[in-house]
Amino acid sequence: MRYADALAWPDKDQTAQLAFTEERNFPFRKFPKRYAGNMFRAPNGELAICYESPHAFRLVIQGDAILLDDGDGQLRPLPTDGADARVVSDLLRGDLGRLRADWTNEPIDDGLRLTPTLESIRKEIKYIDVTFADGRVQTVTVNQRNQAIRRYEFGALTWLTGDTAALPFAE
Amino acid sequence: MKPPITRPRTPWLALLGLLIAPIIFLLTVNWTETLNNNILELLPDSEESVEAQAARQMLSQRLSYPVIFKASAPGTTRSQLTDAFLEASAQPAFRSPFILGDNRYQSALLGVLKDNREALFASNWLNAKHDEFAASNFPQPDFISWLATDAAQQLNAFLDRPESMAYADDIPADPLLLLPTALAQLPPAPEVDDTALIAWIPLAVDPLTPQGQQAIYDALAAIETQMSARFPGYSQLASGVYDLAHASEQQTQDEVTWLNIEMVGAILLLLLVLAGRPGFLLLTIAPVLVAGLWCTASGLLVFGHIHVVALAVSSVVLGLSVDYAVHLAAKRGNGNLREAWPIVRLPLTTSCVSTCFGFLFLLLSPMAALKQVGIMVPTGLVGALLAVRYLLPWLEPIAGAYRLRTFIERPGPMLRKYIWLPVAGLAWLMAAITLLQSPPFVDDIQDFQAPITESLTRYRDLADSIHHRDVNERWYVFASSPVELIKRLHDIREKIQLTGLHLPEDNTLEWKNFASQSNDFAAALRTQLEDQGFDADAFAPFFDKLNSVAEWNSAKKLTTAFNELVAQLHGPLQALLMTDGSVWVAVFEAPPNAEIPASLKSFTQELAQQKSLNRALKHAREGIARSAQWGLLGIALCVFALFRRRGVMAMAVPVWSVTLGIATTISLGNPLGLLAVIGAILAFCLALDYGAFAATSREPPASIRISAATTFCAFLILSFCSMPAVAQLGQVVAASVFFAWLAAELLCLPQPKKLTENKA
Repeated sequence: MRYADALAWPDKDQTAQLAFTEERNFPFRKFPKRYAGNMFRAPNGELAICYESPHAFRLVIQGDAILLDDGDGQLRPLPTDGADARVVSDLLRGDLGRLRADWTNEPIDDGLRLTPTLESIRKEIKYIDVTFADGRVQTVTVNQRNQAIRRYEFGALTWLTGDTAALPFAE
Repeated sequence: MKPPITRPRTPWLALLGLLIAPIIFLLTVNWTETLNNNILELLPDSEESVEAQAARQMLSQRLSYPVIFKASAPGTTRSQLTDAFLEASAQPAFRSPFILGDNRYQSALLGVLKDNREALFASNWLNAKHDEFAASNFPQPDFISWLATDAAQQLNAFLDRPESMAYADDIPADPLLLLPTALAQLPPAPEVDDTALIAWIPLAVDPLTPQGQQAIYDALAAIETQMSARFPGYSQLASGVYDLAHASEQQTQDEVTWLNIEMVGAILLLLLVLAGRPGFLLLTIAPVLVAGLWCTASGLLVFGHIHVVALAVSSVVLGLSVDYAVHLAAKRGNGNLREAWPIVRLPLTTSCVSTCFGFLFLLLSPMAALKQVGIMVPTGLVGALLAVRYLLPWLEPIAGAYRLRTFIERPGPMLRKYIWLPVAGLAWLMAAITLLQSPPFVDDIQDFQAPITESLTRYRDLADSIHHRDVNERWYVFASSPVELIKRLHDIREKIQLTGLHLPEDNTLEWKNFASQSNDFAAALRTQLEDQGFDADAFAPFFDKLNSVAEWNSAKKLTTAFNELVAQLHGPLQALLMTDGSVWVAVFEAPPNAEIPASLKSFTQELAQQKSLNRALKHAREGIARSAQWGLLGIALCVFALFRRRGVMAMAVPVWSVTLGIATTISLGNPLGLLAVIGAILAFCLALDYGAFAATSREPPASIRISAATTFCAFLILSFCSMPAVAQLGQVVAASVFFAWLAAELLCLPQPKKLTENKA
């Protein structure tokens, strides 16, 4: 379970910042759509995913709720089923206990494959491949049932404090 | 020397008709089915068309009648309770329940919207694009190429949004984003508490009947038993129309019983005190008994059943009929009742006819229960009059010797008319000014219901938990087909500013134009999609459908879409659209305080029944008041014809006393509604009775004193009824009777000239 343990965020009393790039592949597009941004994790477990290009918007995950800021600074809840949102937030927050309960994992090259056990998630997601490098998550590839694929690649981890750390979560 | 009382021949015919026949009839009646407490009989009759009534019925059954149910147990979630609840709620009284937050319903509904997106949303898309194009200042011939470019750009931008991943399956068939756009415009779904199960349970029984209510209570008890066995600490709360109706009916029935007992008790006690002899009581009971028998029998013969509220209001017949006996018995003097009859015949008959006339006005009431009163009380009064005429002389020997208390027959102080007449005139003037200055009418259907605070609070709390409130700002429209329904909604939108109403647009001409250029649009869209990085061949499902674009929003497709949609709407969502196979109904938000334009009223109504029922009450009150003006004019002519010169005096009593009675009621802070107006008419008839006696009397008004005392007591007790409308009736009549008695006393005051004549 060495890889699985690496899914958890490093534990520190500061806000973690992780740069990422995302590729979205749709079966009806010739080439993927690309995005870049930063992911933030507060010490209390809250997550903020801030997209910067091609245009700015952010997702904030508070508890089991997912909030969307469409670029105007206002956070609005995304209509999601409570259980599904919880599974997504478990995954992003790296809650190992919950991940073990709701996902099965099997080793693959440089990482592991997570397969959902909940029927509501299985309807949407086939599996998620996670690869690791130097004991940290390097890529996450989400394979959806509808053939859309999202691939995230993560950069260096930095730590923030003060106002800079609070900004991504501001309502 | 006092002549011996000889017993007249037994009046067999009167005994048979007045007592024996109604008793035999009432003995044959099945009493378990005759007393009815259906709340519908307290609601104004509908003047709606058959189609409107069908729509109202559908709205009641699907939106108002279902049980709202909430359950929880410590340490359990909604999903854990759901399966057990679905099993436990399979009761004969219930249909399949709808559980808030259950994803199965959402998936099925989404499937219908997806399958019918062209029929439901394409016309809106085209209209919106026409508007955008008009604002872009491009030349008109470029519309199709602009449309294709815009569609490809919008699709590309949509993929940047997080929710786009969920539509990856659908986009090849929906590059115009009809479904995502429509769903984004819907209001957000209310948040559902995950620690409790909230259900909307449609009914298989009538919640307005006692049998239906009992079946619902039994079903809820069965659910509680089953769920408690599985979940320790389980608790549930339920409410609905069934509970409100049951609580209201129970309270009404209890109150009616007590009102009747109190009224009879008070009248009998008063008579005993005033006469001092049980024999006098026997004479007065006879017409009361006949009135009660005739009153009940007539109600059952005409209507087949009697409503408990009709029984409550009809109990005033006891107080009125006892007066007839009092009038006759008080005039006996040294003779016997047969000799007294000619003295009271004219005023008593006039009184009976005028009172019957007053109650017959209730036949104009929009409420079935009050119509029953309009038949029952006049019949009872006629019975009482016949009993006084034919039974009392026969009963007189049984009653034995009696004499009224001396103070009843004591004349008033000698007071010249010019002393009290200006005071009375001034009082009337002030009362009239009070009435003119403050229009006192309030028409509220809630005044006709017993206060059921606890049940109502429970209902409101539960309704709030599912965001379902019968608010005034919701209207509904009905039609015979989806196409007609949409057309009517468009008609409404043309006249009233409406928000949140997403309708398939009526753009037949624009659509035909678009359809005629669909090949050009397809070619242009292919090019644009390729330019934006899409694989145009992946959109084959959409281009196939584009071949039949002219049919996308045809009447046939629209009807299919609406039928499929309505089958997937459950719980409070049914309010959006419903059909019973022949009538289609849609509910929508109306602007606050907006009035439905007259041209739309034939197919548009307010969802909250309270407002329309209040309006029905207002119309009924105004109608009764208008009819009463002519009726009272007729009575006045009769009185002048019968009483000639003394007619002015006879008419002055009701005019003066009712004006003061109403003004007093208003001054005490009580509003006046339909029953108060009916009470005023009734009070006018009663006061005319006193006026007639006072105008013809040359003695102290002993019979009026007894009569007024009993009537005042009866209506005073009624004025404490917890139903405000009934209480208003009691207050108006009690106050008017008091002033009528006062007027009669003043008219019968001994005058110096009269005293001189008497001495001579």
